[in-house]
Amino acid sequence: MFFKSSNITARIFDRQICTPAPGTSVHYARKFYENLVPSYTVYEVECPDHSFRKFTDDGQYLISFSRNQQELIVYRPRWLSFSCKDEDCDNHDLPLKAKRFESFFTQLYCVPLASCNELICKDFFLYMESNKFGLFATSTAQVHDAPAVGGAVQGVPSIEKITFHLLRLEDGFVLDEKVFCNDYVNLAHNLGVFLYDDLLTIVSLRYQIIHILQIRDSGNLVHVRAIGEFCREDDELFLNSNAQGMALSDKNKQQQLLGNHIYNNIHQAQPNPGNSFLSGIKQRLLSFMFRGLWNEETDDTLRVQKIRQKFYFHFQDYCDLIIWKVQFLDRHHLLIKFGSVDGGRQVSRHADTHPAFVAVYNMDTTEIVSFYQNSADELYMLFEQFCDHFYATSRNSMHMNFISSHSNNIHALEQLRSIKDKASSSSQFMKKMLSSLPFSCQSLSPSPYFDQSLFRFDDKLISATDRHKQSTDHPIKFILRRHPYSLRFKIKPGPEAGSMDGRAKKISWFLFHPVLPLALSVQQTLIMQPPLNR
Amino acid sequence: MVVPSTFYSQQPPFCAHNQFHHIPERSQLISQITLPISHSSNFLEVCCSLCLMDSVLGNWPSYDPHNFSQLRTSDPSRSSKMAPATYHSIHNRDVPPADQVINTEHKNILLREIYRRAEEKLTPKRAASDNLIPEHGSKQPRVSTLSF
Repeated sequence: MFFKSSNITARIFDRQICTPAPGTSVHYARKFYENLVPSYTVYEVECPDHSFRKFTDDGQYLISFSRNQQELIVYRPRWLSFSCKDEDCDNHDLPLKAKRFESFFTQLYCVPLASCNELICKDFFLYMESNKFGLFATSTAQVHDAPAVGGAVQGVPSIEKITFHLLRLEDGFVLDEKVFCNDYVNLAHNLGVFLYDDLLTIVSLRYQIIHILQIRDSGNLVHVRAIGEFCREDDELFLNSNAQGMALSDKNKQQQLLGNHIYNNIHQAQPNPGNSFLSGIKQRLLSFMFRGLWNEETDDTLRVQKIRQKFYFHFQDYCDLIIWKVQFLDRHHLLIKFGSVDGGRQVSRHADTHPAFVAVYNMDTTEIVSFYQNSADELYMLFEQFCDHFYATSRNSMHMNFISSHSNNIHALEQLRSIKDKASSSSQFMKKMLSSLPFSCQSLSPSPYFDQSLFRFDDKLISATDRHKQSTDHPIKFILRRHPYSLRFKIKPGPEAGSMDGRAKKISWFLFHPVLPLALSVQQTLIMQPPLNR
Repeated sequence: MVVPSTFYSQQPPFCAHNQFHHIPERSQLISQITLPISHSSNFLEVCCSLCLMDSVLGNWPSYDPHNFSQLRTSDPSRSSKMAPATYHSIHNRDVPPADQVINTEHKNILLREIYRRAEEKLTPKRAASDNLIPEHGSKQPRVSTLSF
C-alpha cells in the first residue's frame, strides 16, 4: 500500500517522501486518478457536425471526419481553467464557457483526403506515436460480385481503389500514399492493418498477400516484402528462371521435332496459369502440419494411417483456407488467422459454424512455428497467461503497456474465470475467447479510468474497446476497487433529463482522453435497423 | 500489487551495464563498488575512505570485543598488502566472461513459450516411447488438426 490516506493532499505529501517500488512508478502515478475524476457532465454540447473518431494515444489530438466523409479535421484538446473565490466552491456551477465545445478543443486544420468518388473510412485510424504520424484510408465503393481474375479469391468483394494516406498530424501535411487497385482490405476498425513500431502489415484479402511496409522517419511508406504467393524475396526470381529454363528445353525439343518453327513469343517462358503450385505460405503451412503429424508416431504403419486420416482426408479443405487477419507478435513474427472463405468475417456467436486456425509465422526464416485450431486448449492457455503480449504494443509507448487485461490484472482474471465457470461448454467458451485473435491494432483506450485495479464498471455498458455499446438511460457507475469502495463518478450518455422515446434503440460510444479527466460520449438513436454487414 | 509482466524482461534500471564486467575479489569489495543510489553514496564514501586508512575489519563493531584484537591497524605496509590495486580494463578488446554479462532476451515471453512448445512437439518420441503402448500417445502434445 503506497497511500495511507485517500485524501489528495495527504497523497501528494506521501509522494514527496516515499519512492515507489522499482517498476511501479506508472501504477503509483495512476492512483491519483482515484482522486481526479470527471465529476461534472455537460449535456448536449453544441459541437460541429463531424463524426469524432478518437483521441490519439498520447492525448495530443482529437481526430474527426466531416459528415460527408471527405475531409479530416484535427483538434487540439485544451483544458479549461477558471477560479472561484467563494467559500463553497463544490456547489458552484461552471461558467458558461465550460458548456462550449471550443473551450475544450481548438481546431488545428481541415484537410481534404478523399476525392469525388472516394470516401474516408471513418472507422480506420492508426497513430504512430514516435513521429506523430497518422494513417488514414480512403476507398471507392465496393463491388460485391467481382470476378475472380488474376489470382483473386472467389467470394471476396473488390474495391476499385483503396488509398492509405500517411499524414504528419502537427500540420496535416500528407507525407505519402499507398494505393491498392481492384483489391480488398478490411478497413473497418483497423481489422486488415496492423501497426507495430514502424512496421505496417496490410492484408490483401482478395489476392491473399500480406504486405509488410515500413514507415520511415522521413514519412515514406517503404514496401519491405509481400508474403503470400512467395515467402522469400527471391522466390519469384527462382521460379521464373526455372520456368524459363524448362520452357527453353521444351523449345529445343520442339525445334528438333518440327524443324523450322521459331517461337519468339516471350510469354512462352511464363509458368502456365493452370500450374498446380500452391502459394508459398500455404506450402509452408501444409508441410508444417505434415511434419508435425509424422513426428507424432514412431511406427510407420500408424504414421501412414494418421497422415491419411488427419491430413490427406482434409487436404482440399486445408488448401482452401485463406488468410483473414494478421497481427505482429514482434518485429519478426506474425500471428495469422486462417479460415474458410465463408467464415472469415464471423462474429463470436457464429464461431462454431466455421473452423478457423491460427498460425505463428517467422518472417525471417519463413517458417511456421506453430499452428492451432481456434478451440485448442494450448492456445487458450497462452491467451489466458500472456494476453497482454498478444496486444503487441509498441516498445516506444510505455503507457500502452499498462492496459488492463486478464493477464496483468487480478480483477480482470477473476471476471474471466467467472464467465468460464458459468459457460455451459468450455470448448465453446474457448472458441468465443479465441475468436478475438489476432487482435486489432490500437483498439483499446489507454485511459486510466479503464484500469481494473482502480475502478469497477459494467463491461456491457462501457469498456476500453472503441466499439459502440447499447445505451441505457441509467448512468454508468465507476466504483472504487479499493477502500472505501464508493461510487466515484458516473457517466450518463444522452440528454440530461433522459430520452423522450424509451422504445427507440440507442447506441453510444465514448472517447476518453488518455491523460486528462475528460470524456466525450456520443449517443445515436437508430431510426432504422442498420445493415448487419459493415 | 500488480506488476506488468514486461518488467521481468527489462534490465533493472539502477544497474549500469558495465559495472558487471569486472567482478572484484571479496576483500576489495567495499573499496571499489560504488552504488549509484543517491541517498547512500555519502555513507559509502565515508566507509571507503575509512577502509583505505585502516584495515577492512578494524573499526567495525563485532559480537565479541576480542575478535580481531590481533589485527594490527594503521600499519602502512600491511594496508598496502591488504588492498592490492584493482584492475580496471582500459580497452574494449577484453571481452567479459559470458556469464557475467546481463542482456535482455530479444524474444518476448509469449514467443519463448510458443517456441518451447513447438520444440517439444518436434523432438522425436522414439526415445521415450519404446516401452509405451500406442494409447499413451494421447498424453503427448499434438499438432492441432481440424474437425470439419
